[in-house]
Amino acid sequence: MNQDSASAKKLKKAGLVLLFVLPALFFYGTFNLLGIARTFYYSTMDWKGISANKVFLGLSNYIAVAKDMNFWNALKNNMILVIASMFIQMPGALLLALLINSKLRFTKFFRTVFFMPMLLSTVATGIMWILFYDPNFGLMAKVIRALGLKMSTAFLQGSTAMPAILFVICWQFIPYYMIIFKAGLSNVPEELYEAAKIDGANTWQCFTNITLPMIIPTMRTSAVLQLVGSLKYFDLFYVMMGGAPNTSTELMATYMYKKGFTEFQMGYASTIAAYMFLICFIFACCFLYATSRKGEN
Amino acid sequence: MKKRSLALLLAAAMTAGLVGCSGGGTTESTAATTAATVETTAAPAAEGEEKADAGEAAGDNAGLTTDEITLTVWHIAIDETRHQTVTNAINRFMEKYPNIKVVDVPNENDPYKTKLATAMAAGEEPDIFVSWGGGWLESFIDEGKVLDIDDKVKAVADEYYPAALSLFQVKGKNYSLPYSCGPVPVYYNKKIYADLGLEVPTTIEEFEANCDKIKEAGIIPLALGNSSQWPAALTFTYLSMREGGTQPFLDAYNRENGGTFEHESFIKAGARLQDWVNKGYYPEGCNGINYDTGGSRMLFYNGMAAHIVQTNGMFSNCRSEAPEFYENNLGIFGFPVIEGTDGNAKQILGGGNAYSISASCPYPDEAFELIHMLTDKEFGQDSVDIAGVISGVKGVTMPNELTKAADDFIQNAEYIQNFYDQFLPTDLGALHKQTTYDLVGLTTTPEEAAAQMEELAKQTLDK
Repeated sequence: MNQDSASAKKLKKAGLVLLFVLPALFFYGTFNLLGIARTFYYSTMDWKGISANKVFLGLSNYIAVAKDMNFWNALKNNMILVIASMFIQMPGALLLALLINSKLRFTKFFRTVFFMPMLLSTVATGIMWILFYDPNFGLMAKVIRALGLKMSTAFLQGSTAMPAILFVICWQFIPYYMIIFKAGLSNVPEELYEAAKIDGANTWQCFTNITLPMIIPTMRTSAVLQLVGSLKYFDLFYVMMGGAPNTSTELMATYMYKKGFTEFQMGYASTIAAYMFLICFIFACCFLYATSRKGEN
Repeated sequence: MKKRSLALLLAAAMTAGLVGCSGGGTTESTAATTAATVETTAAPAAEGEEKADAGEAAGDNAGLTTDEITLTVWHIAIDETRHQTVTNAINRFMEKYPNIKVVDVPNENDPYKTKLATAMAAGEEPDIFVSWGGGWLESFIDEGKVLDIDDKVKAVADEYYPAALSLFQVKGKNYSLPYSCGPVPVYYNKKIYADLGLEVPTTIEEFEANCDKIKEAGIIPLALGNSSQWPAALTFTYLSMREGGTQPFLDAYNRENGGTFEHESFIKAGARLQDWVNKGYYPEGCNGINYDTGGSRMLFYNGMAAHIVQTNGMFSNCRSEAPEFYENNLGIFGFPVIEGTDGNAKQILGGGNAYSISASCPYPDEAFELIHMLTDKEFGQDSVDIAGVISGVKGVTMPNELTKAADDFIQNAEYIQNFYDQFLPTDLGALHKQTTYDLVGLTTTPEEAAAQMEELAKQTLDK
């Protein structure tokens, strides 16, 4: 009797939980899970994406993409983006977070200024930087000419296009991670620092022995965000390359867009999307696995 | 002739009435999601009278439905002047047919392409949509999404310039009525020409001689913003047409007469384009200059560059962005010819826009009447007067020298070549732009670019 009522209570509770989760689950299911499932379904088809006519191909799209040099080149560019994000954005964001977390004057002012880029929409950011990099009228070109440097002002083409856009991405995203790190830093209890100070630790020792270990979980989260975000990145490359990224700036996502919406090969584009999903998934799992083991040690 | 077409329309209208009952749903739902709705200005006419007899009512309404219906139009006339011309035409239509409500949805150029493809896939397409003809439209035709209006267009064909209609024909059939049709001229700065004492060139040697003098004077000969890859393709296409005439391209496309994209006219065009890049005719970093944000146009308006090879959209851009320049400095001439080749000045590059009707449209006759009024003489006059855009309809009085000159190009043209990237199947069109971009960036050779095109052509066109 007693047991029965307990299990009934449990069931009721589970039902209640389900009820609350249902709306979120509905949207997540419709727009994420269903979308992913459909992507895999379309990826086995020869489909233009205009009408319902499709032909089943099996895995031949997968083989074609694996043989497609453009795809491998795009993946390489994505990897550059991942590395740049992790090794430039993370330290940069940490540095800024430490600055605005310090007890220096005007930190509130700096916090607002640093966060500004994050408030702009990506397209506006892209256009602003296109104008900045313009080889004839751009600020960058003017500065180079004023300094009398004999160098090319052609930034958004060839081998300089990638670094030029990476710079903008860092400029845009460092503030975002800065805020995340700032939140992590605020959670470090003040007492730890006080105790360390009493034991005679200097600032550097405090940083390496208290601050860093305490914010490692935050860094791990942001690293995963950066990893996945960089692998599926699209916006700025599309906008800043005038909607036509080429070999030096093509990403997996822009290549997918080109195939799907410009060349009407929706089946092939779905296969690229499926590969992207798998790559993101595997990378994220590996990363989480590797870092969690380190965390325990 | 008129009677016959009338009878045809009547017969079609009756069948359309039947079809109309079953498929009205999509129109309503697209209409509901749209933002801009043009309000009906006139009150609905007394329905009883018109319904009495189809034959009698045909006097004015040509047997079109008298039911309350809605037609949705997706277009890309987003700037104020061009939108005005569309709105005027729609208002004229709704005054004539008070029972038909027209919902017009202006779209931005590039997102529109994605939006339409998505809508088509979802079966939510509008009744009437805008296209650029060529391979893009063909993709939709192949999927059975576009209404075949060949007979209807032929009935009104003498109102339009043949060259304008031919731009939008797919496999010899008409699926569209043109509302803009523009040649690609060379735009030049008259003041620079006057200051340096230059003459308008007709041959490529004269043109290059002018460019050399302009370069010596410290001015960039040709403005170019090639970030989005199509602007330089205009020059490449002209050069290949001047080298070999229009036939090599058509042969290569149709895979006839041994045609190939490795024809010497394409290789020579690539070589000359690279020659111009090497001579410094183009601004530094032109592959990184964005046309849409105005990088290349600013060079031209400021007098820092002397020429620009652009579509006819340049007229309306210049008019709104630099009205004084438009009035005083803007001049055009035809792309110079290369002597001793198969090319000539009457073969021009151009393109434009046209309205097509969706296969799913439940009221094809009403829709055709609407696109007819959206492209008629009154619209054409409005279009040159308000927006400075030539529409492709005959009998329009040109308001100024510039539009007159552009109109002459079309009237005198023996052939208008649609832009290669519009004309070709979408993947080949994309590669054409990519290879031209590489040519300008000097990262490929003319032979290599041609070989790349031919390789893909073999895959997509040889079937």
